[in-house]
Amino acid sequence: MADVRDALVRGDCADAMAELEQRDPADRNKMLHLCEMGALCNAMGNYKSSNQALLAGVNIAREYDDRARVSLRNSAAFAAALALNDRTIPYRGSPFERVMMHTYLATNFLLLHDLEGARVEILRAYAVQKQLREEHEKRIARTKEEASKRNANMGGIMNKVSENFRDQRALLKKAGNVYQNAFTYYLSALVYELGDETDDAYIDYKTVHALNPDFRPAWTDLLRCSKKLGARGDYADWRERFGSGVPEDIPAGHGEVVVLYQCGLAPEKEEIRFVVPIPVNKRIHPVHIAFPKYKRQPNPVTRARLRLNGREAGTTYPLVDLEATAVRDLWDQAPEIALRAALRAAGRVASAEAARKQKHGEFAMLGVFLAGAVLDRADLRSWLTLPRDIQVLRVSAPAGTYEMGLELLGGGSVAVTPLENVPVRAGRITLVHLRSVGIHGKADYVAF
Amino acid sequence: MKRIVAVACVVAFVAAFAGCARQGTRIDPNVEGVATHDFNPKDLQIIGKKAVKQLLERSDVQDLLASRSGPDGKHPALYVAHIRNRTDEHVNSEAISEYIAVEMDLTGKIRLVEYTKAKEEAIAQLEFQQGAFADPTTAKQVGKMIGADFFLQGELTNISARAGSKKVQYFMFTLTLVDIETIESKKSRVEIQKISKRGWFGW
Repeated sequence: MADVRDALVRGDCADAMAELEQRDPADRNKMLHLCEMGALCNAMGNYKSSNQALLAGVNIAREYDDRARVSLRNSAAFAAALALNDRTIPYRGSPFERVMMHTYLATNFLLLHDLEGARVEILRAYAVQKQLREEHEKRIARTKEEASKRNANMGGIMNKVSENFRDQRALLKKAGNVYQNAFTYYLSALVYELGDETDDAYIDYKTVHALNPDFRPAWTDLLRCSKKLGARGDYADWRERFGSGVPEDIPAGHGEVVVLYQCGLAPEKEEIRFVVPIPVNKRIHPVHIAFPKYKRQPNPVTRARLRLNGREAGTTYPLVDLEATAVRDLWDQAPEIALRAALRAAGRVASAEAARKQKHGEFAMLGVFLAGAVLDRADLRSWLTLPRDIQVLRVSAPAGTYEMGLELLGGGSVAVTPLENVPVRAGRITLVHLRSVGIHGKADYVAF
Repeated sequence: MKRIVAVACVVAFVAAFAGCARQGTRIDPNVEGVATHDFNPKDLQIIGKKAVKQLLERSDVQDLLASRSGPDGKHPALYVAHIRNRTDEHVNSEAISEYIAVEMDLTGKIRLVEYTKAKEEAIAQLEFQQGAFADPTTAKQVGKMIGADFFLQGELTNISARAGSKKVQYFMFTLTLVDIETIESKKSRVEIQKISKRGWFGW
């Protein structure tokens, strides 16, 4: 995927797509490949192709979810993972990636002016978030039970893991809830508002505010919705909390422009190796294990500025930090990853000790350790064409036709090709989709 | 001998799996081909048929339709407006709309008009026929489009629930007949519930 990411950083989406299309992934990586295609097509403005790829990916994910409790395929994959490494397990997507599949689908449907399709996907996103949270809790309980049964010294192992993740503690704190994506909820609120379902929109704006209290666009949304619904008590509470300076109404004859901005690229995993104490045959052995860790990607752009007919309209507000979410997500999976690594290591030590007792045992033992060092690799798979973070801007403007200029802001400012003749209709919303990687960006719009 | 046995085994193996490539077979469209947890063609048929039947069997609906019949005995005019999908599945709501339109048409109790779909096409054709390029002897008259008396709209919703290995899916479809002049409405409702279970053992 390095070639694909390099092409994206250069601003050459066509080249990135050509690189991706050349790949012929194994079945266990098919879902991930479809996610990459989906995100890339979205970045290029090919929303139908993006949907095709992502819907195919969702079908694979659902097929994994519906497999029998003791599935021969799952059992075979797990056995291979214990013998070799985690890369043999079919890639099912991290929880936040599964939610992003539906988030992308909802965004694509909106940009295709298909409100009904968008509504289906936000409902699916809710269901997936709930399902994955419940599954995570069960998996944690099962991991603890398994570790205890096998006397795996998980405390010692997790201390070592924690030491190696010390530099990412700030990101872990920033991440918040992996199973509730604030952008997904914001998109959902937008879909409800577009469908005149203000009560459901209000519920989701409240969730956005709970997940990201500093996100200012939601303050206006909460005031507007509570006022429209006649929820006087709520309205008074919000007004007291946000102060008198926050606007609540869209002036008569005005419409709204909502910019949805995907900024940068998601972090990539790298392999780190460290020594952990593994109990085997009543003795503690120091063993090297391979572990994945996210590597932060530099991004020269921090925000985007919108101009309407040359006049500054506002800058985007960060809503979701997917880099922090990815780090948090991996940390949540760390006990399971660590347990499998520990069991593999324990297996290698036991095999080596058995080999040593044979004729030419020292060579056999060395062979076992060398094979282990080669085969024991961290699972570095992740959705690499996701953005690093997602930002939103929501402004009102008098109804009319505009040239919309978007500038990527960081050390300086880089202008994206402006959108011409964009309609803003009174009482309606014009959605602008902006995607940037490095200093290259592309924008699109749909007027409702 | 051993070679013959080996070849025979290979041939038997190939013959056994030769049918495994996906082949299609035509079956009666009224038979459920594959029973799925999600919305499937059989659900569409159940909804379309039952919703229309339930509505038209009501005596008050029959009276309402009769009240709009013309003095010449012509049946009331009706069109199918939007069928909304409020479920968490990508359901082809256009297909439901068309199925209901056909079911209504087949009853012979209404005159179906194409207000939402074909009207623009017909207007474009009429404009062409009034223009210089069309033979005036074949041109149709403007101002003869039928004003509808009623429209139908529908909504499909679902509720899903999961407990352990069991999943329940409940669909509810409501069909509403609306009198355009008075906005009086009559409704029918069709419910479908499905349960599926994740097996203990499988591939």
